[in-house]
Amino acid sequence: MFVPRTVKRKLPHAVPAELPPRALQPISTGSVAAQPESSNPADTSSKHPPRAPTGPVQQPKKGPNYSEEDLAWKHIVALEMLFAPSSSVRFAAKSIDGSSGWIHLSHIISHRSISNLRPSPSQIALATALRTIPSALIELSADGYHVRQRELPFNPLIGTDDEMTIYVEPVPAKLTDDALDVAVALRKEMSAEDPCLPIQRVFGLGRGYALVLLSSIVDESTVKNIKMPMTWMVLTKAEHDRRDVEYQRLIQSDYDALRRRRRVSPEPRRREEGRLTPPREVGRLTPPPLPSLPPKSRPASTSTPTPYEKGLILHLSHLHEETNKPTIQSFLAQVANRQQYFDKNPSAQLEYDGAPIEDATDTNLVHVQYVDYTKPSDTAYVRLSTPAEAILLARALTFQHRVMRAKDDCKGTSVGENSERKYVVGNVLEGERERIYWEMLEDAKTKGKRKRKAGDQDRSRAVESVGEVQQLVVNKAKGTHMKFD
Amino acid sequence: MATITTTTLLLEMFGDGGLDSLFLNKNVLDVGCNEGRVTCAISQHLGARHVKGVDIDPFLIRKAKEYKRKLYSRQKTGRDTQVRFFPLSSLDKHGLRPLLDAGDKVSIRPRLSTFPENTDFVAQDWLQTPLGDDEEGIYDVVLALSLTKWIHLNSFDAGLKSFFDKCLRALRPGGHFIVEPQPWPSYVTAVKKKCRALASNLDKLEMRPENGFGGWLLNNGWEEVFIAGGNEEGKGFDAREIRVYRKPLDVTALIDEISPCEFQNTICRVP
Repeated sequence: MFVPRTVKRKLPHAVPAELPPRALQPISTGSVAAQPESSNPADTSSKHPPRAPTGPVQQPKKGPNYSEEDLAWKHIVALEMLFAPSSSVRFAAKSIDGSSGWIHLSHIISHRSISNLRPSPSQIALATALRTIPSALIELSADGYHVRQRELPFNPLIGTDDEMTIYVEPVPAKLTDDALDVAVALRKEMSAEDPCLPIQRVFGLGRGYALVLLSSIVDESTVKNIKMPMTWMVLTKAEHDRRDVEYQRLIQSDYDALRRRRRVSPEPRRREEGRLTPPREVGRLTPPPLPSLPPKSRPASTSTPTPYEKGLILHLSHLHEETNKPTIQSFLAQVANRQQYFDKNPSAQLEYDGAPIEDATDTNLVHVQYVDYTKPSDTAYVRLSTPAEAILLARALTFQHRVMRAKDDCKGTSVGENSERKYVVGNVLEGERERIYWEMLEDAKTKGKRKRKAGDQDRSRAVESVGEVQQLVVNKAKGTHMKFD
Repeated sequence: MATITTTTLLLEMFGDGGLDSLFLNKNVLDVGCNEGRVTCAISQHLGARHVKGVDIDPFLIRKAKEYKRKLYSRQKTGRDTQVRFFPLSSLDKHGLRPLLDAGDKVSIRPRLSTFPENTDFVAQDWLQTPLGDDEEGIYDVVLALSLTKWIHLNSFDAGLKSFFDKCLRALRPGGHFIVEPQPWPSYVTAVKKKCRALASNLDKLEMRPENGFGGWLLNNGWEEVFIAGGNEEGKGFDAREIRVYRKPLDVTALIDEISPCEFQNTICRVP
C-alpha cells in the first residue's frame, strides 16, 4: 500500500532509511522482549520482507577531523566509561535467548554521556564500533541492538582512587582539549585485556595534562608495564604529588633567594674620612655593615597592611588573550548574577540557552577591587572584597562553562564540560601561592616606587626577575596607576 | 614558522648519534627564532655554549622568553639533569620559577654554561641592523629556519643575498649555516592567503628557493655540507628540506695560529 511521505511519522532519533537485513530479522527463540524496539511501530515497512541495502548505511555526519576508525574508538571508550565500575549509571536489563543483562542500545544512546558526543552516535554506529574494536568489557548481542557487560577475564587490584590514578601529559598537547580524546589515545595503545582497563574517568584537565582514573592499582612498576605512547609523560599519582611538593619547595626557595638578592642593592662608592668606602656587593645574602651610613630602611608601605586578608584573590585562566580589565570585570559580574538566578531557579540551568535572563537582578553581587591583568595573556588575578565573593565566582565559573569568544565578550558563551573550547576557570588562591602573590605584590610596589624616585630607566630588567607579578611593574612603567582601596 | 617537525628533525640529525659536534659547546645564532622552540631545543638538548634567538616581532620574543622560563621550570638540575621532570600541572598550580639571572645580556660567555643561562632572545630586525665589529665571525652556527621566504618577499633578491652575505660574515671560518628554505609554491600561497600586499613583490623575484637558491649559495662563498628532509610526497612542513652549508676555512690564518701537528689533526677532523 502506498503511504505518502508526509503521513509517515518520523522516529525520535536518527535511524538510517535502509537498515541492513540482519537488523530486521527477529530474535530467534521467540522471546517477546527481543523484538527490535528501534523500529517504528507506525512504519509498515517492517512487515514487508527485508530489503537488501542498496547502498552504504548512512552514518551521522562526521566532524572534519574524525575518520571512521577514530569515531569507532570514541564510541568504544565512551561505552567502556559508561560501564566502568565507578559509573553509577544503571540501565534496565532484560533477557535474550536465556541470558540476562542485555541493555538495548536505544537506552545507551539516550544517556547524555553518549548523546553529548559529537557527532552523536546512532545505534548502528555503536554496534559497528563494537564489532570493529574488541572490548573485554562490553559484549554485543547477536541481533546487534543489545549490549551487556562481560565478566572480566582478569582480577583487577582495586584500591583508592589515588592508587588507581595516573598523571599523563599526552602528545600532542591539544588532546587535553577534550577528556575523551585523552582516553581514546591512551586506550588505543593498551590491549583490550589490560588489567587496568577500563578507563573510568579523565579529569583534572589542564593545558597539556590530565589525570586518568583506571580500574586497577598502578604503582611504579606497573606503570612501566602499561603500554603507553612513548612520547607521553606518565606518572603515578603518588609520584606526581611528590614531584609537585618538591617543585613547590623549589619555587619557594627561588623566591626567597630573589628577595634576599633584591634587598642588597649596589651603593655608590662614598668618600669617608679620606678613604673610599667599598660598595655593597650585589648578590651577597648578608651585606657587610657600613657604620658611616644609616641602615637603609624600606619606605613605609601604603598598601594593604599585612597580614593580608586571605581568600580574596581569584585566579582566572582561559580568558581571551586580547581582553581588557573592564571586560573581565563585567564578565565576572554577569557570571555572578547568572549564578544567583540559577541558584533560585535550579531547573532553569538545564534549559538555559544563553539568552539574557530577564529576572536576574541588576545589582552587582561581587565587588572587584582590582584586576591584575596585562595583555596579551589568558590569565588574570582579581582581587575581590570578601572571600565569599571569590568562592561564589569560582563555583559559578565551574558550573557555567563560559567561553570568552572575543576580547570584549562580557557575556561569554556556554559550552559543554567536554567541549573542545576552553571555558574560563577560576581558582581562589590559597596557602603558599597566596602568600607568595601578596609578598611579590608588595615588593613590586615598593620596588616601583624606589625606581621612580631613583629615575632608573631600566624597569624592564627588574620586571624579568619578579615572577608572576612582574607585569604589575610593567603596568607602572607604562603609566597605569595601581590603586588599592 | 619552524614547528615541532623541524625541531624533531634537527634533534634527530644533530642529537645522539648525529652530527652533535655541530652544536656542542658552540655559539649559535637563530635568526627568525619565532617562539623559541628550536632555539631552546638546541640550547637545552644539544649542549650549545650559547644560543641567541633573534626575531623581528617583540611579541614572539616575549613568548620565547616565557617558553624558556617554562622549560627551565620543568627541569631538575643536579648530577643528572632531567629535562621534563616537574609536571606541567605544578607549573600551572604554583607558577613558573623566576629566572634569577634574567636579563637581555647577549654577550658570549667564555665558559660552557647550561640552560637557561646559555639562551638569550632579542627583538631585532637582524637584516637591517648593522653587524657590529664584536659580532663578526663569532658564531659557529647560524640558523635560518622557515625564514627566507619572508626576507625574499619583503626585500627581493637583493635583500636575500644581503642576508646570506651577512650570515657569512657573522660566522667564523668553518662555521655552519643551516637553512630551511620554504618552497616556491608556499610563496604563492602566502601571498594569496596572508599577505596580498606582497603580491606585486612576488612578480619581481627572479631567484627560486629550490636547489639552494639556484646554486647561488655555492657560487658565493659557501660550501655545501649536506641536505636532509625534503619529502616530495609530503605536505607542508614534511616537504621542507634542511640544507647545511659551511663557511670555508681561512686556511692561511689557521696555519699561522696553530702548530703543524694541530693543523694536521684539525684538517683531518673537518668533515
